[in-house]
Formats: sequence, structure tokens, C-alpha cells
Amino acid sequence: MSSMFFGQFLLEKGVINRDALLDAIERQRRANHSLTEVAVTEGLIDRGKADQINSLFRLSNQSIEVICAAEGGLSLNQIEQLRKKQRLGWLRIGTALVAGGHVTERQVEGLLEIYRAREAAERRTLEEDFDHLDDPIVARACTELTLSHLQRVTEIPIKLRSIERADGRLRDGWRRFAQDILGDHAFCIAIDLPMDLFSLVASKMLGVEVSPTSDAALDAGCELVNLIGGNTCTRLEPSGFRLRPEPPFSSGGLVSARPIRPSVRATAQAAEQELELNLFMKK
Amino acid sequence: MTNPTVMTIDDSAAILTIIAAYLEDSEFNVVASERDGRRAVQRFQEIRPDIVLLDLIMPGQSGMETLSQILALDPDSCVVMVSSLGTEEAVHECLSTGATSFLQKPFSRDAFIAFLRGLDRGIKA
Repeated sequence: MSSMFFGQFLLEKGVINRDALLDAIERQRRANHSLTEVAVTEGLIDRGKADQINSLFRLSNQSIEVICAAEGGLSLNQIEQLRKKQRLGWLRIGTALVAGGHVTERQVEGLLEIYRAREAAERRTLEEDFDHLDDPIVARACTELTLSHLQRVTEIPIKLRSIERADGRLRDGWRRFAQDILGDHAFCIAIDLPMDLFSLVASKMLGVEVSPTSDAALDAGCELVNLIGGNTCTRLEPSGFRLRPEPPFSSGGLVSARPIRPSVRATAQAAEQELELNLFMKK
Repeated sequence: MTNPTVMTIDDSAAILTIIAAYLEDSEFNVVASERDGRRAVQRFQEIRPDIVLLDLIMPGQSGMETLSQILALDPDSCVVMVSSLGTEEAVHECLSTGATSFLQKPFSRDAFIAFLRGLDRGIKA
């Protein structure tokens, strides 16, 4: 089973091709503006302040609205008005595909209905897949925190596609960032990222462009899994777990030297790229 | 009145970079950043910063060991434990060992500076 975005659904159905999807995404990129961009257009903040707010948003756990108020001096009323203006001009993928002449409005309407029904069914299946795991509470906490931290850092919508038992292998050319969690349960959280996505994560976390092979980038990846691991321990404490994270590490060192073991693998979609979370449970 | 001095201790260079960026335009002066607990204790002895921001989970000498050694040198030092692990157990262990406060990651720049200002007021009071 899998869950996907509407554009990918159309691609899979053969309704559009890859070029059409890329064209629609580009149309969206040109038409849709972030909250800070709308604030700049409305003359409420300058470009430098917008960059500062965006940078702080990537590094914090607060909403963009809270940071706009604190750093940009915007009132709640101003932020609400900006959100309304932003929504008014928002171009959805279906509309972008129609605008590009790739599909008709009628096609979009019909397929959207099928897509929504399928998504609802797949959400239910995902929940059942979690319930069938040996440690559903741990798997849910790790998965939710992985997706929310990655989404916060990259500012890309991230969608869980599947949760399943797997062989724990790291894909060729990908980077793995891992952390052992010890205590009354013992497991290892491993975040697997393709190089492009990893490069984006590292650059966004550090606020500057960095090479994915640099020590700074590897360090940022380790800090990401450290946030996820530590927050997972905190999240699980009220459920009776007593857990403690060990220092994080990255592939190329300790991970590749470890034997590959069965894992619980969550696969997610970040725009066009996949990412994986592998949980190695230690009995 | 001189600006408060801050020393950051974290094995993650990424966190040291982020904290330095957060404090760049503030009244707080980052006077030292160390990635290793043992070296950090030596450096603390030399510079005696007003505030120490200390990571809890570090390879080699842990944050707790580093905390104990800093407090042995100066029982009145202001050491804030910084960690993504915010369990009651971890917080209790740090505070009962003598840490001044505990800050859970992630945090925003705004909240971070407000936290440090509150701490600084407490030190000067």
C-alpha cells in the first residue's frame, strides 16, 4: 500500500507525464507565495526581515505566525489578513495542470474524487499497518517526529507512504543518520536520505549552502536524528517508557560496519524524493 | 556594565553554529565553543564565563560528568543543560546534580534569548 500526492497519483494513472507534472509544479512555484513573501509585497516587512524570519522558522519548533509576530512585529490581525491574501491566490496542482493544458477541469474533478477516496482508505490501512507491528507506540512516535522535524527543516510537505517490516538495508548512494536509544526498550533510529534531500536538510539547518560531503553537513544530519531521538524519548515517557539516547552517528562510519538486520521501515515522500526511517528493534 | 559571556559545549558543530548565529546580534558574547567535555572543563577554568550551555548527550566524557567537573571548580557557576531529551528523569538528574536550568531542543531564537536574559537577571540579582 502507499499514500501519495495528487500529482503523483495522476502520473501513476498515466493521465499526465513527468514533464506535465514538472510544468505544473513550476507554475505553482511561480504563483504561490510564502507568508513572508506576501508580507513583503504588502510592505509590512522588508526582504532582509523576511529572510531572517524564514531562517528562524527552519531552526525552531514555532509556527511561522508566531515568528512573524515576534520578529516581524506583525499583529495577529495583520497575520490573519496575510493568510487570507495568500489563500486567495493559491494555485493547486490540479488547477496548475489545467492552466498548462495537460488535463481538463472535468478530468481533475473526477480524478480528485477517486484520489480522496483512495487516500482515506490508505490512511486506514496505514493505521492498521502500525497496529500490526510489535512496537506500534514506538514506531508511531518515531515516524511522526521524523516527518514533522523534516518538514519543519526543509519546508517541503512530507507524506508517509508506507510502514512495513524490511531488511534494514541502506540504499546505494544514500546517507544514513542513526542513534541508539537505550533503557527499558532498546532500539536504533536510522534516518536514510538521498543525497539531494540530505544536502537540502544540511543547508537549511545551518543557514548556508554546504557540500553534502562536508563535516558540517554530516554534523547537521546527526543533529537532526539527535532531535528526533531525544524528542522520541520525551514523547514516550508519559506512556511509561524510560529511554535515553546515545550520541548520533552517520553512515560511512559505524553504520556501514554493522550487520544488516530486519527493521521496521517507514517510507515517506518529500516532493519528488523518497526518504526512509528504519527502526532496528533490539530484543 | 559588561555584556554577559557565554561558553557553549556541544559535540555537534551544527548546534555550536546555530547558537552562535542566534546570539550574534544579542548582548551575549560567545567567548568559547568546545566539542569535547574534557577540553571544555580546562577552558572553563581559564575563562570563567558567566553562563555555560552544556549538551547532555556527548560521546566520550558525558554532559553529566562535565557538569560535575565544572561545579567542582566553581560550585556557583551557571550551567544550563541543553538537550533534545526532555524527560522528567533527565531534567531531575541534571538539576539535582547542580545545573542551574535545563533547555530542551529545538527552540526558537526569540525564546532562547528571552531564556538567557531571565537567567542573566537571576545571576545579577
